[in-house]
Amino acid sequence: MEKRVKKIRRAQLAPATLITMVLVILGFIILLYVLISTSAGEDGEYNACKLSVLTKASTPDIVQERVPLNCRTNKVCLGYDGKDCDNSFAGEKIEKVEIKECSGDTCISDSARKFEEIAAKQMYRCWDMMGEGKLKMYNDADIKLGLQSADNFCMICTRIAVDAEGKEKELLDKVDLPGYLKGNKPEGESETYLQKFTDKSINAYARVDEASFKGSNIYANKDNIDYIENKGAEFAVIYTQINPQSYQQVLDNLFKAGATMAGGGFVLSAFAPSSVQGVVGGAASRVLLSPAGLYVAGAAAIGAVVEGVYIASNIYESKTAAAGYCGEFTNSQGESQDAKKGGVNTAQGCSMVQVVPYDSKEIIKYCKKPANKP
Amino acid sequence: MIKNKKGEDKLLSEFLGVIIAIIAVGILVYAGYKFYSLMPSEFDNAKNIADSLESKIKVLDAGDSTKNTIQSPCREPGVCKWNIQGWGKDQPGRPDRCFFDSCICVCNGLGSEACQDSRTGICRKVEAENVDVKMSTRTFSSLEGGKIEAYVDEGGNEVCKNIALKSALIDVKIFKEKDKLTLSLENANWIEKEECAK
Repeated sequence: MEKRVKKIRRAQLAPATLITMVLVILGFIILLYVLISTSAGEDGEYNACKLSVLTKASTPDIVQERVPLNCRTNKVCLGYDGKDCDNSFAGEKIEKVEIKECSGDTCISDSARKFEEIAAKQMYRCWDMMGEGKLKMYNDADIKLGLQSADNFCMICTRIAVDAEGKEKELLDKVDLPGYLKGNKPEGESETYLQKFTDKSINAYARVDEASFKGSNIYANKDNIDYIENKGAEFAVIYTQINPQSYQQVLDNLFKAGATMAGGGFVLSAFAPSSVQGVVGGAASRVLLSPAGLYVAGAAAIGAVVEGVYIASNIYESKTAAAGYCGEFTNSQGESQDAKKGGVNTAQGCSMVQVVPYDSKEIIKYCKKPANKP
Repeated sequence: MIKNKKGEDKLLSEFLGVIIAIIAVGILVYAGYKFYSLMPSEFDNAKNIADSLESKIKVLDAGDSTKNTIQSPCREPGVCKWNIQGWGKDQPGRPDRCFFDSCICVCNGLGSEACQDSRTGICRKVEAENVDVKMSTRTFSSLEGGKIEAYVDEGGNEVCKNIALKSALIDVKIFKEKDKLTLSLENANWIEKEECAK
């Protein structure tokens, strides 16, 4: 008798537990939504982005591409008093950093140091926001199944514009960003910026295109010279990551996907009435054993081989692309280094934070599909 | 009597179970729909482009210029059919929805027809007598057998009266004069001849 009462009580508890669970999940979702939507200001934007990055990275791979990132490009204007980098940011929310309007080597050098400080801070902010290279981000779930070659994930974290009434070239020539990253530490940290960005265990690196500051790249074409000297210069801090899959990983993922589908089929068939199971099973075996069925099975086998070759070619392409993207980086001693010579397996992919000239054609070289609007 | 009570209890718990299952399935379907619609459509992206262009144009004074970096509204930019186009208030062939104003439009296709349909085009009124939208590029035609024929003018580039949104990132230069608004794109990716508005 006592046993029966316990059984009934247990059965009565089930709906209540379910309701509680549903309410808890709903409450959590509402709380998360409120947290994200009410977060305002600089810290709010930073936290909202970091939270969305964590959410995306912890979402199952198959749906990760559908999870949007709540990240805005930070806009910093390094300019003289009264200059708001309108040529770059007209009508946009900016963070203004004032530099002294002056001439002479020492003064220009001070402005250059300011640029280095801002750029380094923004690189670190970006690095931290994106999970320090430890979170795997994908553009497409197909990459994990080898159905598409790996493309890099990228985020334009910050745009830094200089508005110095025609003295931009002079100022940028004095910028030594790798030197600054090598010799300075982020606030409250014991390691230098470069040491922070460089972690061989997770293939994480920093890269600064020195040529961008020293004339050979961004000043290569006449239009750019006119544009910069008259209108100001602009740079972007971008975070990129490429994760090519190995043959073993693709096989594992395919196996998991296959197991999920088979499991789903098994669950569905378990619910079908036995008469239907019998009819479907009989028909299937008759079709499979007929000449037409054998022909179809043969075609399927050939298809599987072709698919295998296709997947293998995608994996090879991904590794080549990764080697291209990760080929050169700045090591923790501040030297530009070829990744392969540094003993790094570039085919495994990498995460990088880099400063490049802000020009759509230049950025697309590193960032085919930016994850946020610049 | 006891038997009926037992039946009532069972019915009640079954009924509650069914109701909870329906609510749970409903929540799942709703969550799935919401999750699916998290990704903005091409139209939403195009609307954002039109909005960002409009807000940039509004803050410019006569004689000012600025750059607006645009992301292609399409997932595959290479095959994207969306374009930026513009018409001055007295220019013939304007979409009727611009009424008697100058306007810039972001449309899925070329010409006023694509922009006239509110499902395929987004138009914004601009305060300028004349609007000049131009893109310098190189064009080609696809021929039979996979060959292509390229058209190159003396200057090397052709100028189209539209900005094709066929690249992941596009730097559109906006220049505002007293009576004229110019939106331009230099050295765009190659496009097919029929994708160039003349």
